[in-house]
Amino acid sequence: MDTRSADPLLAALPAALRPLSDPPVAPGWNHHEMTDLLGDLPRRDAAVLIGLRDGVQPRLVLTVRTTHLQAHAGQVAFPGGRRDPQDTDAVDTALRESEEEIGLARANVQPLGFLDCFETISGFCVTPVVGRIAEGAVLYPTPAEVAEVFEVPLAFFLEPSNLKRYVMEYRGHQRPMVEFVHGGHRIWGATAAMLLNLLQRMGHA
Amino acid sequence: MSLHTTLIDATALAALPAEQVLIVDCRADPAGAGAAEPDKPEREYRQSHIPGAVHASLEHDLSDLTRKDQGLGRHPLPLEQAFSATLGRWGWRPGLQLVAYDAGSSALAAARLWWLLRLAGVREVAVLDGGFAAWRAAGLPVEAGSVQRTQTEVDLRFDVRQAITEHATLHAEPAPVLVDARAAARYRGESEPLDRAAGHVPGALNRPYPDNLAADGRFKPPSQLRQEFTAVLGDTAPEQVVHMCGSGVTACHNLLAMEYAGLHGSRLYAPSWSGWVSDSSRPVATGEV
Repeated sequence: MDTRSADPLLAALPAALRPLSDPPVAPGWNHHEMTDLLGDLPRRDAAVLIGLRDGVQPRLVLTVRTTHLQAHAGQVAFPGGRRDPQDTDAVDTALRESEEEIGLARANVQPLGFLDCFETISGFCVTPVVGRIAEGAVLYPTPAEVAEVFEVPLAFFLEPSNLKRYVMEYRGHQRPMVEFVHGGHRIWGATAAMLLNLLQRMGHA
Repeated sequence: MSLHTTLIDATALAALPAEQVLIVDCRADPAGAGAAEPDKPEREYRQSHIPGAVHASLEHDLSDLTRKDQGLGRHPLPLEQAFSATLGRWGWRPGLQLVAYDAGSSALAAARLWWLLRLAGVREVAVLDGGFAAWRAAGLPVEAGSVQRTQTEVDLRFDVRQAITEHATLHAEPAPVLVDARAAARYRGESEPLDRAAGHVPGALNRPYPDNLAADGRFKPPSQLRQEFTAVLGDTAPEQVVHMCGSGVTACHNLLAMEYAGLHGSRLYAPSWSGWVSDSSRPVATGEV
């Protein structure tokens, strides 16, 4: 894959990430908030791929999970999932899950680095892997897990007016939340929080 | 709401909340800067337009006429910086749905703006099917005057592979299949109202853009367009197709029709016929293919 970045956003990205040689470790950056909600329940390891498709407008690849899944059904999510014992590391988990869920061949992905670990309300500690996806990569979503794949320009997330902040009442706790609405898709919860982490690391939020 | 990436009809546009769409009036005169009244489109815009719409000038916003003498045809593409500045003047921001419209056909010049945004990688852009005529026929409101929106900072890049400006590229191997959107009489060389020579680029096929429209002025259904384009193109893959016309404006109509029909990835020869004949040593074909 061509590793040059004509796009200034893509060029600025690696410096904003944790390098591949330095994977993040638990606890997640929101551990304190999750401890309030979940207590000290052990978190299970998971990883997602925050994949940017190359092009004049780099685009993030997102999925809508099918409604009958156990966790996060019907939600907008990055491809990814629980770490298997056979996975060598978080990158391996993210790439394997992306192959399984959206048919993205790992040869079409160039991992760039990591965001910080993030803990979900469902008890996972997620390692977000950021990578570039080849412009021409064809995706084959698995209908059992993914209802839809869609792509959103990275520039959309960088536009401050597209970031909505609100407070959600959850089990008596006031939780500050963020969301993005792009077209018919509402991007919220863990996915929006990881995006906020990306924006903060890029100096945009 | 969901995103509109090819066509949108008048009632769907009317239902979009004002803050979720940027509407651009692209009504233009085919004679362009050489028209008897070059500022007529803008005057018509100020008299009556879709509420909230800003005005795009084919000559000044969707073209760069200062580059006309460079063999790029009558409507050279704007540079990235200039096009970004135009979008910023209109208050566009990434992710905001844009809808372009013109008098009715969508060929002058709504499809050109649609394509320029695609060239910049923007997908959240659609053309109002049937244009201003369909809007008025639906009994929807109009307004007069000029619209000023809050300006934004825009910095877009063009995907240069989508726009062919080098004439030699047309002879590359494998040679792309040219599809000419001009009327059959101009293509055959029987008449030429605008350019210095009559005829077509040798090997080009002919698909006059009005063939994309049904009797009511709206696009034919995707299945019918697909069938008709397949009849013209044979087994040529869509990515091998390069559209042209007189100056790279109405050709965008054929490109839009193919995308609407699910035939993805065709490109534009932006200088088109006027650019081709700017060098009199280039060959000219007349008659049928």
